Amino acid sequence: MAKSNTPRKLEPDGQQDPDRERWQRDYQAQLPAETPVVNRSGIRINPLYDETNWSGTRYTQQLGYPGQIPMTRGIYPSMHRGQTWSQRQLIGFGVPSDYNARLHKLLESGVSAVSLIPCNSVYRGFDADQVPRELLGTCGVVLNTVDDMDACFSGVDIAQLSTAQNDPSPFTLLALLLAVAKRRGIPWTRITGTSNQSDYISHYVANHMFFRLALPGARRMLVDHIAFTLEQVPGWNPLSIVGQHMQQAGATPAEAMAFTLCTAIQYAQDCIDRGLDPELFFPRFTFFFDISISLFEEIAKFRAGRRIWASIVRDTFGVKNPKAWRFKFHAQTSGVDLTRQQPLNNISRVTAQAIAGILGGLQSLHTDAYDEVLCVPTEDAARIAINTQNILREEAHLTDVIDPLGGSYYVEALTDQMEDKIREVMDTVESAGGMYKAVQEGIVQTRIGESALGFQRSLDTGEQTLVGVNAYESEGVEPPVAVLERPNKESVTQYLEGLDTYKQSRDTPAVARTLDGLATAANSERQNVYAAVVTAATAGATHGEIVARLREEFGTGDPLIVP
Amino acid sequence: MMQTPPRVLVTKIGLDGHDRGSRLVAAALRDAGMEVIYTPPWQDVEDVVRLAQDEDVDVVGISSLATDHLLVPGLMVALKRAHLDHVGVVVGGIVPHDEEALLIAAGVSRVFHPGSPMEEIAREVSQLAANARQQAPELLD
Amino acid sequence: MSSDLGASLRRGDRAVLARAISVAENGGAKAQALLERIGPANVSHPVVGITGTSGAGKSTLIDQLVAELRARDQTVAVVAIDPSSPFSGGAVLGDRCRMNRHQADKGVYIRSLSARGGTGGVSAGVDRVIQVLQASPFDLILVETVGAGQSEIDIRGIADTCIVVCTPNSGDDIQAIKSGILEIADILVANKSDLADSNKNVGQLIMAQSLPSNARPIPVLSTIATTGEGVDTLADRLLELCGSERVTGANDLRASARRRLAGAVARKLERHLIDAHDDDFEQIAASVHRGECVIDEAAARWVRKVTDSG
Repeated sequence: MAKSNTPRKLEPDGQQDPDRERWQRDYQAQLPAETPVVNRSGIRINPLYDETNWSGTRYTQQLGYPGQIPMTRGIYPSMHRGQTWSQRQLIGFGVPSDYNARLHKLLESGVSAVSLIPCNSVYRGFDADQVPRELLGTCGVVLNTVDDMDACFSGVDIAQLSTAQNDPSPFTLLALLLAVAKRRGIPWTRITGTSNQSDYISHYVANHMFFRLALPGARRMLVDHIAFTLEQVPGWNPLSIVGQHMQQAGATPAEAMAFTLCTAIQYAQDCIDRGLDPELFFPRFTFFFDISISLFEEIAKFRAGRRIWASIVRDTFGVKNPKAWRFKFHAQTSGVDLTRQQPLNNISRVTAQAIAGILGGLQSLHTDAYDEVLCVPTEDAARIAINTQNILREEAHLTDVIDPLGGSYYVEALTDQMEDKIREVMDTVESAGGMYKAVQEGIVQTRIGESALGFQRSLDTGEQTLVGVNAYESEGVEPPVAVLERPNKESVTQYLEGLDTYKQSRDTPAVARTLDGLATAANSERQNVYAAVVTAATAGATHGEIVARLREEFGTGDPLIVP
Repeated sequence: MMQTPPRVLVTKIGLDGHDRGSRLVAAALRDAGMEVIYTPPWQDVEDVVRLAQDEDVDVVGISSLATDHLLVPGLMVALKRAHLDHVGVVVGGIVPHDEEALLIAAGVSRVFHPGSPMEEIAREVSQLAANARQQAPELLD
Repeated sequence: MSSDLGASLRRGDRAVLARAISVAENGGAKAQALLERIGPANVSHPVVGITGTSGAGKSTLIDQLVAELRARDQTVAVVAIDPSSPFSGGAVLGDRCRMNRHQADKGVYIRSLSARGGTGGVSAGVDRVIQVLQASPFDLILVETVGAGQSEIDIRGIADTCIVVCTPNSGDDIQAIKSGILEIADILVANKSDLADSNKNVGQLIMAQSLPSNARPIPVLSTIATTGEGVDTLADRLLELCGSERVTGANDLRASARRRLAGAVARKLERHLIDAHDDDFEQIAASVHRGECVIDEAAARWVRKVTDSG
């Protein structure tokens, strides 16, 4: 099943090119004893690539044109030249009025797409009055009610804005947004955005904080969510399949891509089992990846992923709609490569990572601020992060040519090798019965843990350099201290008081009825549980109340911890 | 040198669930000859006290992100109340200076920032474990 | 405090229990003194050994089993043993991760132990640890052993009842049959019975019992530990066995004590070998190397020396 690229000799009679031989000898003379160079995915990297590694004789089969099978070069005919990638910066902090203030500033600077990052308490499925106060609002906005959502978007036309919300199962934030739309008389057909973090498998495996409902319940919720939005919020992407968490947890780039594709296959199968039309749901599958600083490896990873996905959808699932073959992905520069020591170096790192993502053909990019390791980004650092993208696009002209590295001996050979590696890992998951079963067994988690340990060893031994940490250290210079901005204590107190008032002044019986309706739906065979979530949110139920009720019915999610 | 391996609890309190760091520390402590009791995240302060007691550990290691470390002073009080104040406590994570001082004042022995070398962590924890053993009340008198 | 150590334990004092287990595990004079202070157990709580290859799902199964036992009003102590690193002697003890929901239950006590170099899946101090647990009020003591491979025979030396867990994958079941592990089982659990070959697995396990070396048929139960399916039956069967004549009958008690003593002796010797690095051992080894004596005689000589010196 693996497609390998056999090296070809240049001379038809089997003789090697004498110039190449001479180069090999000269190289050997200069570097007689060399440690092999191996990338993060375990692929050996040669000092030089030429036609013996890859030749362009099968252009149509291996590369093709942008927007055409095999999709290696890009999913759209014009790619970034036609429409640049979205600059979607993450924001979330404090209480809704804080979020609203930052949102307005961002909109003034010209972005048309935003993210919403809720507080850790929200991620864990709680309302603000259920957790210790000191934990509120430091990493995301506290947002429990429809009033809160309204306040977050106060003075903003949500019909004109694409929102990506970090909103794990049971997707209460979208429900609250839809409730606001109803309030404002905006039809749901005009709401656009993405359910970021709808991929429960990635949470089970590697971002435990987001995992709220036991696996079978989460599985049901996702398909209901997709079915609901396909019908009622057609401009919304209900599914973002996440490779980022696994890569940040230690998976190699090839492993992260492989596991993500396997997860996508699992979800597609679940949708088909439900009776949803692949021609309709595949175009709504989007992906989210980490970009490490292993520049060429990342570019090859994305190109290989794009090619594999197109073949899975078209050939394995037999889907005819060409829109369905497109590997649409958002990517974020990897925070794991950033250091606390000499933090300004992180600007260089983020630049390299961003280049990799752009040349890899992403559709949407978030660049980390250099102080991301220390705190929620300061305004200056956030501005530099955005300008990094502007500089790469407009000064370095990275958008002038589509897939500029296409045809490079190295990049094409590496893309092929990454594809082989990815397929190899995918095979191990498929032989365990698919991704859902594989993660229940812990196979995926164990492999990620081993890769994480391997990488740590390379740092400990110095085999992998980390500037400012295990090399090029600044003598006697203390690394900067974290500056953690804390939400204003007054605001938090006011927020909690507001939440209390809100709960008192609702039509409590009506809310209770919708929560009962939620339980009934969860226990039924056929009712759409997500529709019941939206009903409850619209009636005034809070985020914590909805999650608690579903936890009662489906069980609380307990991710498998593999030490 | 301790006769029997040090026993170290590696755990997380608060809301965060990221465990790459704590897993790596557990492996490093094992490689330094220690017995590491590893738990899932989201333990309450009461849970941690119970774990420390039931497993009779010498050191408690808290892996923290965001503001989870702000719960640690409460943990120190609870450990004392349970007659476990001989147990060493260390915190690993992103902790600002002034809050680090708060933790040390509450009785935390050491705060490890991101990028701390594993051998340094192992060395310190080992020393703390030896101290804890010395200070632990005798069962048989 | 020490004068009423036994009383504290019998009362269920967890702080005392936890520290007593450490003293017992660590051995030496203090452990001796402790066990003397506690005195012999006047009641014998059943000790259940749970073994099987790594990946069979033992910890997950125990998590479900504990829930079932609690639902039947049984209090449970779990001793979870993980292998130690042959290089550093350290260990990561993570079995309790799969039993986290019992964390706050006062009727459950979980203790994580390292095998501390022991090769048979059970550490040398486990016997003493169990004696301490016998003095505490837990109705049942479950011991989960290292799923390192097929050498789990050792568990028989400390447990009254043995559960062996197999799965249909990677020829687990065939290996089990070949290695004789089935002979130590009182209950065979075919876990992950939702996987394809499971019927074949259960069938093979039942068939393996018709081999002449087996005197009595052993119950084979199917479970899916991740969902809990089949674990209620397992709990019932287990409690039946623990309370049955067969186990508490006088002959079997003696047989059980004999087995446990044999296990303890083997572990004591093994401990000596692991701990001792003295000249005598080196000299005897050198004699063997030079062909001056056969290995059997050398071993006997060594055992005499060790037992003489206590």
